[in-house]
Amino acid sequence: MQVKVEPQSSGTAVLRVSGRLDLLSAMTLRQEFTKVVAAGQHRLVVDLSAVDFIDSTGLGSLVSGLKTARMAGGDLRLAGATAQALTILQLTTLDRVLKPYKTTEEALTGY
Amino acid sequence: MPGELGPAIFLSPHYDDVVLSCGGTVAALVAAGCPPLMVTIFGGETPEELVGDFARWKHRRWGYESADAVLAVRRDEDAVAAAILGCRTRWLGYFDAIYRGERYAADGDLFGRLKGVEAGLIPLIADEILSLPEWAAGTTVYVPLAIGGHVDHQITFAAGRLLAARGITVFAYEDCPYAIHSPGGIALRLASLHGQVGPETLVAIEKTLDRRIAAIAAYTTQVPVIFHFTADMPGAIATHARRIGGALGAAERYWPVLETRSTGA
Repeated sequence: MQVKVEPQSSGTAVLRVSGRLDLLSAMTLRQEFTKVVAAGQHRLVVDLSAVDFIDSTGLGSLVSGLKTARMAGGDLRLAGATAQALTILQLTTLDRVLKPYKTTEEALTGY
Repeated sequence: MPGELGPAIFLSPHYDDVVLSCGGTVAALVAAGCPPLMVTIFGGETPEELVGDFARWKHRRWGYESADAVLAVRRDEDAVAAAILGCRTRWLGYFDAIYRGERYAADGDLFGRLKGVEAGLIPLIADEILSLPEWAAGTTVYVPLAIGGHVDHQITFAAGRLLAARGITVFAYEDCPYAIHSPGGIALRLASLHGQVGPETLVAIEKTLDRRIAAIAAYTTQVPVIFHFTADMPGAIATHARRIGGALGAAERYWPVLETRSTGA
């Protein structure tokens, strides 16, 4: 898994994640969330369009990122989730909390 | 052991189920030089939006105000129990049934029919077990039989059935304390499975019974709730284990999950 961080204006950042978001990579993403929020970007958009697989531990890293962002007064939005990602979000009911946006542009609108 | 001595993964729907039901077997595997892995399936970190009235009531009953506080203490307890047994642990990220929206909003729902949409969780869990770093050829998997019918136990059993259908050796364990306080539930569950499991097999645990009881006691927030029917948890565990073991002394009970193709719970 790889993460590319793109800081936006006024405390917002897009994290473009690619590869598998699973037990082996979840910790890396958690650490990335911590670093980004510590750097002052607490409104996060996670672009999942290049993520080909997410398991439950990968989902856990997104929940962790959400909590980290909220503790700093921000939030976390998902964009570009693939069919596999949408399925696991719906099955676990996490889609009720992390409502998936179609694109990063849509997620950034009004953020 | 019910299976051959070798790598083993015990699936625990919640943080205490394997220790409550199979702690003696886990400790015996450790003593035999094959420390197993204990995997908690529904152990994920939960966003507060998923904590509804029912979950809040559960939290108060356990003495906690938030899902984060519950998770922290449950993981601490699990780590202590695993250390007592000498095994390794992993916590997957699925949410406990009490946090899955309006699907299960009362105790009656938790011990009822699995909501249809949740069948989709079964292959996800099975695949996640197969992709664990600890997975090795010849691994034996242990799942709850789902005596008592808790939905998370049903899902975990169904994941075990799916693994068995893929040629993996799977055993279902006797869910304690359900089997202790409601022994009639065993026959009911077996009847409902229509031959999906084979004849019961026993594992002698007299030498590791004390370790199982000590590990159960590590779940300090749960013991008063789940052993509400007795003030003597160690006595209840030992009496049940020796009753089913008979001439073997204390024992734990398992059923082989058969290689059938259906994946229903």
